[in-house]
Amino acid sequence: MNTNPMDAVSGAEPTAAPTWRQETLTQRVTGFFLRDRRAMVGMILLVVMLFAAFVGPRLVPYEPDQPNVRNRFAAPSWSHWMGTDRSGRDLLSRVLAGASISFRVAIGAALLALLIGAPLGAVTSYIGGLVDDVTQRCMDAIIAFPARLLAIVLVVLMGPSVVSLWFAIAFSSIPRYARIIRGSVLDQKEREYVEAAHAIGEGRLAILFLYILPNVLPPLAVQVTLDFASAVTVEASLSFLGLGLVPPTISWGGLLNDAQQWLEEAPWLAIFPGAALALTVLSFVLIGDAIRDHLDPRTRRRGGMR
Amino acid sequence: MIRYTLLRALQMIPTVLLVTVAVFVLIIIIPGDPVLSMLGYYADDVTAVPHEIYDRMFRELRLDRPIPIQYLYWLGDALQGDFGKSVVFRVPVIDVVVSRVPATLYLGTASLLIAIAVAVPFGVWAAVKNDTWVDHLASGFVLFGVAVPGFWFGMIVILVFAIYLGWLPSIGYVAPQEDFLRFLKHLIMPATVLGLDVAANILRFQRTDFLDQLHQDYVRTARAKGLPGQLVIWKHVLKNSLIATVTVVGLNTARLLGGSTVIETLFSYPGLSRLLIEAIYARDFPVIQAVVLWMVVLVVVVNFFVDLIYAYLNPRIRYATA
Amino acid sequence: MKLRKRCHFVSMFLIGVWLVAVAAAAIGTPATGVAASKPEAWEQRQGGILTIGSSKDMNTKHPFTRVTSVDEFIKMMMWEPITMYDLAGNLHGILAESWEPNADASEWTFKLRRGVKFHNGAEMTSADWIWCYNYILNPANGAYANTVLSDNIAKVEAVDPYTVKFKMVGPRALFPHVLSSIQNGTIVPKNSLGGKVGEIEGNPPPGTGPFQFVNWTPGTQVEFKRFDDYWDGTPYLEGLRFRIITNKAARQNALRAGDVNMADRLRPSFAERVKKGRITGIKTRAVGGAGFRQLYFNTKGKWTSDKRVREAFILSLDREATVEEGFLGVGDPLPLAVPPDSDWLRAGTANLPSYERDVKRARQLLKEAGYNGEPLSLNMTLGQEVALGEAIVRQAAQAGLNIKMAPVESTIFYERLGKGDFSLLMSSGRFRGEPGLEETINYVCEKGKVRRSRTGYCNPDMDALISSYPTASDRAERVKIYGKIVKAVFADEMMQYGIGWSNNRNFGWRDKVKDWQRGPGQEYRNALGGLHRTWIEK
Repeated sequence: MNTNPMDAVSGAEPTAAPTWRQETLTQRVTGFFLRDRRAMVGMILLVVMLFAAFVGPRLVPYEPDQPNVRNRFAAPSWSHWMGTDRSGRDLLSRVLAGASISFRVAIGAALLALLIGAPLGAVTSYIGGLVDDVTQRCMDAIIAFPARLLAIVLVVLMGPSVVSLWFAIAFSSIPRYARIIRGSVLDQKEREYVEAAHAIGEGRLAILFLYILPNVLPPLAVQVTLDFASAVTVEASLSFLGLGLVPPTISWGGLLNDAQQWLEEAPWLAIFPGAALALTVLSFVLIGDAIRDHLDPRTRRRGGMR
Repeated sequence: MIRYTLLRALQMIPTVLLVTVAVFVLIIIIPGDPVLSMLGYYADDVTAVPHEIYDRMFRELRLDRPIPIQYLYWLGDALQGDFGKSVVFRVPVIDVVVSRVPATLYLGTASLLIAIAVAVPFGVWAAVKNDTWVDHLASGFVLFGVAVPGFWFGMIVILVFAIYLGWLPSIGYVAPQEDFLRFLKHLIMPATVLGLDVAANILRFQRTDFLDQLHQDYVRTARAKGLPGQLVIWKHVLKNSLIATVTVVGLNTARLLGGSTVIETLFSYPGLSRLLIEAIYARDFPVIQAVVLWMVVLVVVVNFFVDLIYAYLNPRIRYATA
Repeated sequence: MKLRKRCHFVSMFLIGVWLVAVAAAAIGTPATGVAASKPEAWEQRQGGILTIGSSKDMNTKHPFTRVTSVDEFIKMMMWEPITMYDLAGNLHGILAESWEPNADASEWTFKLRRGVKFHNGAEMTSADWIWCYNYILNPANGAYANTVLSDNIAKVEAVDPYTVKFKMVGPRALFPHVLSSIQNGTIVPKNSLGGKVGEIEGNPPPGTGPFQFVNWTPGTQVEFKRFDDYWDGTPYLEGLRFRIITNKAARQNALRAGDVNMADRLRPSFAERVKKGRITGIKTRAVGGAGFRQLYFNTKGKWTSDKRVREAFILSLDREATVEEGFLGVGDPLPLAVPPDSDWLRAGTANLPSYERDVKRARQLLKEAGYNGEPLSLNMTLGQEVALGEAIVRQAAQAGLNIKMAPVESTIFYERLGKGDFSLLMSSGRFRGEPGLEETINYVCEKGKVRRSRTGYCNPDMDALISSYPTASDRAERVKIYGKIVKAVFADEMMQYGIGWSNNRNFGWRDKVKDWQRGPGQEYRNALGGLHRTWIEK
């Protein structure tokens, strides 16, 4: 990844930083992605995967569930780039179909965790007292559960569907959001401008939304990005274990579950869906790490891969 | 230190209690008739069960009591190691669980050793050779470990070492007392896959912490005093970042002792996690309860010890809390 | 033994002939009734522990719970049935030496095999038989076979220590067939089971089998050791170790690596590679007569209670294509769970429409029923072919049916079955010589009320038809009744739809394992040449 063409850009404009204040948000974000090689690579990967997930299925000549019993276990070739599976179905079409499911589950789960966790953390910490204590203990209990274990148990209770996967995966991330917000609220609550707002008679909720939330948006953004990554993995693990989405719904985990049965006959069945999965996770991790380091001055460095 | 220990131990109690409630609630909200399954009937035989037998079992399972009372009974039994009978196997749950503990412990210990053996020297080396190819290799390794799911990596490893090269058995477990060499051969692949995953995790924390330390005041002071860079790194930074290493190793220990569901499944390894998955397939809820409780309590307890070690190594913490 | 009958398995004919020949040689020297003789070449062959990769666990330590083919295979190492089918489908005595009905088969007299010892050293006598059957017949003990046996036996009595007389509730011509499964009455020593339903503390009760129980690690392995006083001669093997490996690919790999010396349910592709010499040191044999797949409709379910919906579903399927896709090329499309080219099949299909695929007509029927794409569930177990489910779901979708596949573990499968929480059910079937008997097990109605019925259907006419089957002592008569049952179930009510045999099961064993016989229709069971005749080459 050293041959990044954007090296020249970031190298040529080392003086960009001081002029930040005059830039618009869009410019800042674009600038960040152009400047940080990790973010750049991650973004390109992500765009490719998103394109594959949402446009790809329309470009391939085969339906993902169309069998062709005369062409079982065909190795990758020009007509089937990723080969075919036990029923002679085109693996490329199936990996693409799996991509859109993966993104739907991951995005849904991460946003759901954000939408539950953030308000919960904000409200309880702002109220404080017993409510806060009880919530904190509940959050501790949730954190004590290994994330994947919790997701497994929940998905079994709710039955296999996209919506229950959202809840099952989101549940274990809720405390993380609540904590980010809580830390920030407790920190900001004492600040002068909040006290000032109190003084001029602003309501509690107004203070929360107008003054506190804007300050916690960046760490939330990091958390959401990293949650996309973990949600993609957890969904794949669940479906790999046969507990997530069941056939005929196509998911990467399900494809890998099937592939495991035919590892010797058709290794390509394992290689391609796994690679797609790994690249997707990688794209989110690269972006998330880059944003985090960018926001955290202690670990911020001259840019480039770490 | 004693004060801190007690305080921290007290904090653990509500968490554990909440966890037991959650685990108990599992059996209340699941569909299915525990009486029928305990009697060894499938649910399609419901009409075949005589009433008096059904009622007797209903009372024996204390299902006629209010739910909070049921919980207290259950908790009391659980504290004595009695989790009831497995629905599938109709033997005490504790026997089933205990029979799977050694396999998971061996796998957990082996992968932890591999993880430490890889991560710690690699981390130190990368830190010393800050910003060289070693450092970049470490970054790449971390990214690889985070992005590549263990079960996929495991499949590739099986493909290469078991199927193409035929060097190692792809699945299963042999008890060490039975045949030690075969025990090792079966252990090496799952332990390596799991170990590398954990190694990446450790390395990731280590590096973040290391970079953190580099920017601390004392490092700047040391540098300003004219100490050579390498010496500063060896003497101060690494020593301090060891605290972070201990923490992250501790956290991963809890995870490894509970077993990894996907790895144990992929390698058909008869450990606790595999038991959990089998119990889930069969909706064997007493077993699920016991395994989940074991895993969660393990996390809580290990975290407690990690905190103690952390506090011991870093006095500021224990004074702040006390 | 006048119940001999012949079945012709066209696809397995050659293997069958060969196996029968081998089997015939094996029974050339019948057991004399004197216990524990050392078999031939004892010194050279004896010893060794055979490790078997098993697709399923033995599940319980109780002899009288429900069994499936695999766990019965394991349990039959220690517990034996009264009778057993041989490789050609004929019934042989195991714990009984012979049996005679009275004129109308309302009474059966069984002569016990003499010199059979339990693992605890006691000799098996009629007292043990009486105790075991009374145990099952007492509903308070919750034995699984209670339903079936109370429909057969009115009273059990001892004539002498080696003769038992069963008084039946009516004419029951097929009673010895009922006793061919250990769940319907293996023999354990009298008073060896406690009052607690379905529970065994400590070791399971001793049996009479060639191997005795050593220990069981649930979900992991079951161990047996040789029983020196086995009535059919001391087994060569010192012990058996069943290792539970549920994953098919894993089982294959374990066999190849030598971690197990034998394994069940291997893939056809594996057998193919063995045949082509790409895998050496291993032998495999395909097992037929098992793995029939059929669908049951829930006649009490939403939508599926409408016969038009059921018919539409049947018309939406193309059996040949389903089998080709669903069984990965190793299936045999057939509407009924009977051997191809048998009189059973002829009698059955004579009354059966051909059900050519007709999507247009299916859509028409659905429209009439007012069905508009509402979800229907297909209840199936995890082990069943997902590919088959996918093929069915897709074909039905082309006719406008919205079917959701639900592969679940068997516990939940049965729970849903019991609650009627399904629209369609995929179930497996076997052929054991009396297809009508299998049907009677699936329909048990009492005074018009369902006692056990997969489709939820109950009808006095049907009851009469089904209960007339086991009373008919003439085989031709039973074939005729079977034809009528098929007409009622498959054509008139359209409650069931047969897909075909999946010939995808293979046993495999390493070359050093000698004298192991399996046969058609007996995936796991066999009367002759079982594991006690097997030995390991050193």
